[in-house]
Order: sequence, then structure tokens, then C-alpha cells
Amino acid sequence: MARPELLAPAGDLERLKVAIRYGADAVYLGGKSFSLRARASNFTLADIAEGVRHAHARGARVYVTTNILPRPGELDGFCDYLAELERIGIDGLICASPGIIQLALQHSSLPVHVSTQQSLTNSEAVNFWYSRGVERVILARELSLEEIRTLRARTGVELEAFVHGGMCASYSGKCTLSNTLAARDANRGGCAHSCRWAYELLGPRLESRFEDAFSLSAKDLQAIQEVPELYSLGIDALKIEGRMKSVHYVATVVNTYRRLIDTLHAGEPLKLKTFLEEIAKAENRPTASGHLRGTPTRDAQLFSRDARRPIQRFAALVRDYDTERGEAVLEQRSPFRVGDTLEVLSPDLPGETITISELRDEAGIPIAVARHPRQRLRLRTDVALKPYDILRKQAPNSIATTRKT
Amino acid sequence: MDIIVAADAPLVESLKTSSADGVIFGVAPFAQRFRENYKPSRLRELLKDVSGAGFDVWLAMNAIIHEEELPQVKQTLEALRGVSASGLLFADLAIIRLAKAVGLELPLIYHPETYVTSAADVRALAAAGVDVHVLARESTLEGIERIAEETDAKLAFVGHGHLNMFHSRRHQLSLFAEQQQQSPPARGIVHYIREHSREGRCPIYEDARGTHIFRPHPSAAFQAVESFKNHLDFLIVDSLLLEDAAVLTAVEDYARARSGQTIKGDYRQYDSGFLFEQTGLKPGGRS
Repeated sequence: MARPELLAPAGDLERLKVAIRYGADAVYLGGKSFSLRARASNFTLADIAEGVRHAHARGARVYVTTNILPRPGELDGFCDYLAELERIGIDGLICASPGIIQLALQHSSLPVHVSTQQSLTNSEAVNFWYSRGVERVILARELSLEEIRTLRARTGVELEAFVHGGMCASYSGKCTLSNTLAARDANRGGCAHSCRWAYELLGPRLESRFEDAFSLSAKDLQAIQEVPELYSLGIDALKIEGRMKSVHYVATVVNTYRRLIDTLHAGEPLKLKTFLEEIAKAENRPTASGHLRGTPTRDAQLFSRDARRPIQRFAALVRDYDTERGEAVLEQRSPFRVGDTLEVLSPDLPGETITISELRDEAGIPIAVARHPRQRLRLRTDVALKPYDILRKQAPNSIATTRKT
Repeated sequence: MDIIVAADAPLVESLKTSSADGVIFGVAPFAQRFRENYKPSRLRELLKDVSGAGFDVWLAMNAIIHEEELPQVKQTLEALRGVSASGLLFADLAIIRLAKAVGLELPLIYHPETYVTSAADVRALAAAGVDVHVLARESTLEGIERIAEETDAKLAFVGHGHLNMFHSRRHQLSLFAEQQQQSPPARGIVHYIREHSREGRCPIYEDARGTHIFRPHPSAAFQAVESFKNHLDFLIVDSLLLEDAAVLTAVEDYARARSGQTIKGDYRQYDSGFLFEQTGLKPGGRS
């Protein structure tokens, strides 16, 4: 059984590097043009080139999204852009518009991946694009494991499935709720997430006022328990959603799925509980298995009364570590203090923790509490940290071994 | 520019003496957002019944098709072989391959609702065998004109009716009813949703294919007819959620507008869809 590619979002260069550091086989990113997620820190061509150099040096791939549904005139310069991306050496394009797919196939030798925005739900539609020359299809998020298994058997094209992150409540690429209610183009990068708003529902059978509002919102996807089946049915790539998400989210989610895939591939015993506990630390919205187990039930919906926010545990990002001095340079992300025990999230240091006995600011002055966002801090520790390692507050009842500084 | 009306059997009776140039019938069970869908055997009767009216008849199989449905889709297409219709309207690209596989020779009308937004899309799909392209519902008039000027393909646009804006595979009303410990509403029963800071109530209903939500007001395109005459081959009037009388009035008014006459209906409750609307990437429709 081939090991599926783990594909992570890169909202900017830093998150690209974090994703690869934590084990992504590939990242996807958007350029300044032709890409959805207009509010993400989309990449310039120079950024893309740097990202490609960084990724390729570490054996990872870079896919660029050109997944808008363009209006007339918005494809001006697209073929020049393709040529630039080809020159840079990206590994593939993610496209949703039939016109963009066709232009990419005709005017470049770049592998073309059909976006989930095409909402492809059956093997005939998948094979329509396969027969035209695309290399991969990113399946609609409305498919069950059983549907994916059958579809897998009926096509030779590479298949990619989402395993983690936000879900469109609508079939993707077919929604104009945001266009209508917020004058923001969902399919050109301006989605206002109108499906997550609270609505009054008016009868004849059902009624709901704003105090107990009706919502279309789906819980985020989390498929830890479904990955073994996706692996066994021969999926080619597993995708994490979230170009807008934080460094901590990217690191935690990529690290968890990386270890899960590797455990499966090695044929080692699988303790899903461990992976579920780990992935829960990244959640910023409640999660469910989407459509993978069949028609979603009430438990997969995000009704207003369920809209709890998990606790933020991201304490600091490691920027540097001086092995001779045994000192780390940290960047604060949420308050912590001397005496706190912080968990180390690092591909190289599983289960490691650090209890803070002394903390200094950038000038070397001792401080008791790191309370300023993005403040640079110095931490003495003999734990050999690396850039992009993460320190986070320990979960209650954690049973990791604690090392004092 | 022909006027094509999405219809059911009772409405077609009235349309026979109207200015409509064609009708669309939903094919069961693979049409969605139609007043009623008909099995191929019943469609043959309907086609026979309207044959004297000089209508174009399009058959619609515009569902998003899931894997387990493919054999039945194929059977349905086989059952349509030889019907005297003038086109097959579809949304799922599977139909292109399956229609060819079963030897169905009807012209193919691609209506995915959002994906045909540029001339490049039209050219890509024409190369794949599509004969008529229904432009995206969020198209502006300026965009429609530009696409028409950049291609030779036959173009259609849904200019009138309650435009669908959301389709989920989830049964959102039933899930909410369950959450509220109430029994789910029957399929097809229209409710409304309203966001407190916005005007208008959006119709919402469930069917076997999930949940559908529509714009708060029906849309009309009379202001664009003069341009449509030069740029579109077909103007589609959607009758879903509208009364027969309203549809018939609109059809006559489009025919009047097409020939330069004054329209007679009252369309104060209608909007103009996205034809003249500024939408963008930021709040307020800014780009």
C-alpha cells in the first residue's frame, strides 16, 4: 500500500515552513491572483519561489491554487502567470473553473488538480476530467467512505480527500449565499461565511427566533478515525484545510496526521485515542466526521448552543536555540508565567515538557509573566529546541514527564 | 432570444397559448428544484401532448449525482433515447459521458449554476461536447455581454424566478427539528430564514437531495432584454415558487420587451439578481 501524501495549507511563508517542519509532504498556497481566500496572506511570485526552494530542499512539493471562478476579463495575464509558475518549478496547480483547467492543460506542462470547488461526487464526472488530462481530483467533501471506496475502484486518476478543517455547508463552488446576503463573491475569494450566521426560521412547521437561532453551519471536519480506512482504500492524498489558520494549528494538525499515517504505514498498533487527544489541542471549533460516515446527523451540525470555544494553549513559538548557552529565543503567543509547565510540540521531541524556572526579556531582564503578544523572550533550557518548535500550556491531567530548566 | 419556461404539466397547458418558445421538464429522479419531475414514460406523453404547440422541449437532469446513482442515471438516459425533445439540461459532468455511452443524441445544455463565468469556460465545455451554456447565476449584464462577444457558442441565462443560492446535501431543517426535539418538516414544505440585520426572508426547503435556499425576492430581467436579444439565445424563466399567473404574465412581458413594447406586469417585489449588482471581495461589494 502506497503512503498517501499529506497536504497542508500554507497561508504565508512561515506557515509553509512550519507545515514542512512538522511533516507535510506537500503544501498548497495561493498567489496574489486567481486564488480564493482573498483574506489569506497570499504569496507574491518571489514568495512562491522561496517556498518552492525551501520545500524542494526538504523533499516536499508545492501546489498553487488558481481556484477562482473568474469573471470576464479576470483571466487576463493568466497564461503569463502559468509560465512564471512553471519557471519557478511548482509541482501542480489546483483549479476549479473549467476554463482555467483547460487553459492550464493547454498552455503548461504543470500537473493539474481539480479543486473540491468542482464538487465532483462520482466516478463518471471524475473520469471526465481524467480523460482531459488532469492528474488529480480533489473529491467533494460530501462523499462517504463507501462512496470513495467505490469511486477509487473506478478511476485511475489520483484522488485526494479532505481530512481536517472547515466545511462548506453547501456543495462547494455552488454557493452564492455570500454574494446575495453580503455582496461578497464566494467563488472569487470573498466568502463572508454567511452559512455560519444566526438566522430566524419562520414556519409553517418549524419556528425559531434569534435567541435560539437556526444555523446552517457544519462542525469542522476531523477524520482521525477515518484515516485508516482512507489509507486502506488507496487514497492518494489527504488534505488539511485552513490557509487562514495559525502556526499552532498547522503544526499540531500536520504533526498528528503525519504520525498517524506513518504509524499506519509501518503496520504498528494504532492507539487512536492518543491521536484524538493530540488533535483536540488544535481545535478552534467543534469537529465531526462530516459526510465520511454517511449522512451527517445532528451531532455534525454547529447549532448556536454548541458554539463553545476551546481553550487557547499556544504559549510561544521557538525562533532560535543556542546549544552552547542552552538558551532558546521565544516569541510569545499567549500569556504564561514562571512556574508554568509547557509542553513541547516538536517532530523531534515527542512528549517533552519544560517547567519555566526563569524567563528574561530580549534585553536580558528577568520577568515573571510573558504577557505581551509577539514579545521576544529568552528561556534557559537544556531541551534542544529548534526553530518552529512550539511551547504550549499543558492540558489538565497530562501525564508527560516534566523536565525542569 | 427564445423564452424557455421551467414548467410542470398544469402550467404547460396554459403556456400552450402563450408567447413561450419552449419549456423545460424535470426528469425523475434526477432533476432538482423543479415544481414536479416526471418519469420517462410520462415525459413521452407530455411531449406528445405539447407537440402541436411548436415548443422546444428541454429535459432536465440537473442533480448532483452520487456514485451509487450512476446505474440508474444510465437507465434513465437509455429510457430517453428517441424522445422528441430538443435538449438535455444537466449540471453534473457525468451526464456528458453517460449520454454518449448510451447513444443519447440530444443536444447538451450545461447548467451548473456557477461554473460558466467566462468565455474560457464556454470554450472548454464546448470542446467537451456541450451545445448550450447556461451562464452563471451571479453573472452581471456586462459580463454576459462580454462572454457573448468572445464566443460563438449558444448561451442561455436564468433571468426570471427565484434564484437558488445554496444547496447542501445535509437536511438542515430536519437536523434543526431534531435538535429542537420536533418532528421534521415534510419534504418540499417551504420555510423562510431571515438574518436580523438584513431585509427579506429567504425561502428554504428540503427534498431527497438535501436543502435548498433561494434569494429573498424573485428576480426579473426586463431591463436587460434589449441587450439579451443581441447576446443570448435563450432566456430561461424559472417557475419554481411562483404562481402560474405570475409566470404567464412574465412570459408575455418578456415577449413584449423582446419586440420593444411596454411591459404590463407589476414587478415591484422583484429584484434584478446580480445583473446590475456590484459584488466583490470585501464588505459592501468592494474589490
